Amino acid sequence: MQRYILIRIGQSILTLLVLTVVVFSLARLSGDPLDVLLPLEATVQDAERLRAEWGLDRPLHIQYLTFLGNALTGDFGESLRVRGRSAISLVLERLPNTAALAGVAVVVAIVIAVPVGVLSAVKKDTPLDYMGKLIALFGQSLPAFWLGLMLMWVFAAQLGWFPVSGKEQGALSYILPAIAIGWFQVAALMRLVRSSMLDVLDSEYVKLARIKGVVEWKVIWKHCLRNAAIAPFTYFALIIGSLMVGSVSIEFVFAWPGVGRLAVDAANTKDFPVVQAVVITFCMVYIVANLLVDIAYAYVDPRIRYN
Amino acid sequence: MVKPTMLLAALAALLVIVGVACGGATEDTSTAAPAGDSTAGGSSSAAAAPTQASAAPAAETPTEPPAPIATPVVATATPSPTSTPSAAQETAATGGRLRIATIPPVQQLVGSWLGTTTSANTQVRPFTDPLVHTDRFDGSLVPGIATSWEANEDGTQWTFNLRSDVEFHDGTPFTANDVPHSAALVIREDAIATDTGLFRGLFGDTQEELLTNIVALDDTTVQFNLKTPNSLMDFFAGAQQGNMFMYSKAQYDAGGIEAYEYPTGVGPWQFEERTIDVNILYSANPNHYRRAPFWSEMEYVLIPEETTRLAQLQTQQVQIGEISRELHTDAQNAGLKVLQSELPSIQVAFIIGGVYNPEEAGPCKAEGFEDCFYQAGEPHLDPRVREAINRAIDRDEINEALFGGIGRPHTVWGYHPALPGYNPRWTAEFDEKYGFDPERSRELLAEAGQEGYTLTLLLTELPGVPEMIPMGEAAFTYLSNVGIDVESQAIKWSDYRAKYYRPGKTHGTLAATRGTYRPADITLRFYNRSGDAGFWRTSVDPMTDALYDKATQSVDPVVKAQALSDLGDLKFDLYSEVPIVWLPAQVVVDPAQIGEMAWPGNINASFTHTEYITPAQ
Repeated sequence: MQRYILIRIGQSILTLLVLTVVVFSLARLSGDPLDVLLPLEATVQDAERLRAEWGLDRPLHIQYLTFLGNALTGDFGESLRVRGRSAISLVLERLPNTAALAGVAVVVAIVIAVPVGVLSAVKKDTPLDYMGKLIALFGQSLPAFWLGLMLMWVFAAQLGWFPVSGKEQGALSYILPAIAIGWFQVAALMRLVRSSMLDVLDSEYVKLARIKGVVEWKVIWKHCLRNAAIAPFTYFALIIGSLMVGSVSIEFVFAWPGVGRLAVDAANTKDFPVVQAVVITFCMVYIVANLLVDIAYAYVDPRIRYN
Repeated sequence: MVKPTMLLAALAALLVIVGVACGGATEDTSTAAPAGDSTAGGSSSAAAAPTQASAAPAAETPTEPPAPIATPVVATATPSPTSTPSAAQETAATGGRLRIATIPPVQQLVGSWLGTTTSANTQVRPFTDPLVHTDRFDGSLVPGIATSWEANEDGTQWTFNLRSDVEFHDGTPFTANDVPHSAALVIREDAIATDTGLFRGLFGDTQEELLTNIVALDDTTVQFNLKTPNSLMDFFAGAQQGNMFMYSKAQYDAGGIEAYEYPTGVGPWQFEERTIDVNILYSANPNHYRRAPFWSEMEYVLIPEETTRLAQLQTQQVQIGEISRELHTDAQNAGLKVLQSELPSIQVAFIIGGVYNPEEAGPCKAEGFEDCFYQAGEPHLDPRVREAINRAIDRDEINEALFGGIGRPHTVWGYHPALPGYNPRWTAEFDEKYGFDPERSRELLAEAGQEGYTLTLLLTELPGVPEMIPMGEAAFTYLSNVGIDVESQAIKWSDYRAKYYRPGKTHGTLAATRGTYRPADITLRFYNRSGDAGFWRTSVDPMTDALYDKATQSVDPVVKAQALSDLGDLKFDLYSEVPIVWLPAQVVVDPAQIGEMAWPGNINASFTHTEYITPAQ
């Protein structure tokens, strides 16, 4: 088991290292930040002065090694767009907002997906099952930003039930963006719950419970769901990772002050340090989530080992 | 157990929600541009005509130009409703927060030297003033902190006389010593201000050198000694396009540059706080020397998605919003009002690439022409080809279809009838020389032997004119119709800047651009100047260089205007560019909450003069 964990950690570090190369290269390939941030009237001398001050005049491999060395200490440099602020401080300032939104979105996904998944399994091949599949289809086919705009238009602009954007109005501010982000995950989670439930519903102990006269709702919601929940449970960690990354367009639409929006603004202005800090942070979230899931699987299923 | 019928009902409700959302949006769009709407111009994409601000004077027209920008030699403290000392007593904060939904600035800053003039004018101008104020109705330079100013005869020395009753928000008095300090910030090592390069050229490369050239003669007099003559120092002191805002030397001396994270200022608003990408909050300065705001607070709410900004306006969560023309009809249908600036704000044109002309057929490096961008055989060097491009394009159709008819005639890139140097001949002869005439266009191309020549149309976009790409697409059709082989290429502005115009490789290209309303020599410096002084060098030759030097180095308004006019004649007669329209700046307001709002539009920012905005009665 220890060997398995060590190998997985080693793989994670290697993945992260490769990612730093990719992120660094892509950021440079996307263009020169001076062309975005400098005023049109900037002279060649202005550009050269700033290029030297920001270290952009050094050879690329030197820039990369400097970036890597600093990144190990959590220093991704100063933001080029918000001068005087370190890139990582901007990311860390926003991370709680994105994490909180992702957390609410997970709740939304669970609240919708679990009951619908269970009922779809119980009422297999009935209109109820088809309806459940339809919800899943909507979740996977509706672009999140479009769904977000529609939710905003109906529930905020027309009905006035929720704030249009931002997070100033506390809990109410989370509802619409969380639904917009979470609905996509409803589909995957609902299918997972449904298929797990179908397996469990055919098992001997369920038949026994029914023979013994246990009431149906108890059979389904207590005995079956408990056993069927193992697979969806391990999926949650991945959901959280993907929800955080998937928040980019929704944070933009709802002017949510999260990491996703920070990433868009930074990419548009070629703010290398922030782009790198955001991507590396997101990668770490994913890698850690995957690592935890793998370790959890290894504990649950002793057959999973590196031999 | 949950009854299936209940679940079905819930699911049906969810579907209805989605259906309503889709249906609602469709209905809204379909009713957005009624055919009979006099503002729609018959096009579904046309913007609605704006409404002039309620208490503003009549809209500017070419036949009734506003007063030109103040000439440099005379420095009268012309009494103005916007600059009288008693103005502060006329108004007092009435409470309430003025909320403005705007696009997040590219650079988020409180130090004006850390970004472009647009970023500075949006975020810094509320809390601190430049030396010279800009009249909100006619856009002219009027007394502000500086009550008067004058230049010597050769334009190398400018003296500004300052008010003695101006205080920073922290209570310390503003004196002439704050001026050189503020100017020195513009050329700090970390500065990327619009006028950093200009100030280095005028006052020296180092802060020490600058401080020997800008000196406080006493508490209310400051003198600018320029290394080269410049006739526009009052314009730069007005920061319409510049970054010289007044910062407190005392605050800097006490806390260093870090103290400016929470800067004090001399503006009508006090800086309170900012949350990056979320908002910037100011409180009213009830004792402002010029004008105390009506509102007790002002907040920029930073929202990147414009549909969201529109929804904020509709739900009255903000009172003013920056909304593109494409959504103006939707806004008006929702009971909102579109206001436009007093002056034209933006000039739109196509730039013809490759017009680097050292001499008619001279060597690459002719005298006075340092850039070796000239390329023999370039079709665009032939004025007949440039005329053909101009005649191929239907400006009226572009104005109606894309700008909802709000555009005003534009005859020569950089020039406006209300600015010095404009020649009325250009207006009189425009239709004859530039009018839409595809047949003549084909003849000109044939005469030049350039039928079917290949032109690269660069589709790019700049903030403020989202119509630039559709305008480029329209040009594709117009130019193809006269037989030009057009290849279009979508390109980001920053890439266009890096790959084409900076290195002087715009040969054979045509690209839409936009500029602001400012003295012609500012525009010309950028576009029609060779060597290090120029930037884009769209159309340059030794003659434009000579005329430009004459115009910018003379403080005699007559000489200056004549040189500018001669330069404009050259551009007009030789079809240097493809001018399209002048456009006003526009914002959307909630008329239930906003009363008067007037701003000139000739300052590089979406929102200025916010201290004059009044609530609805």
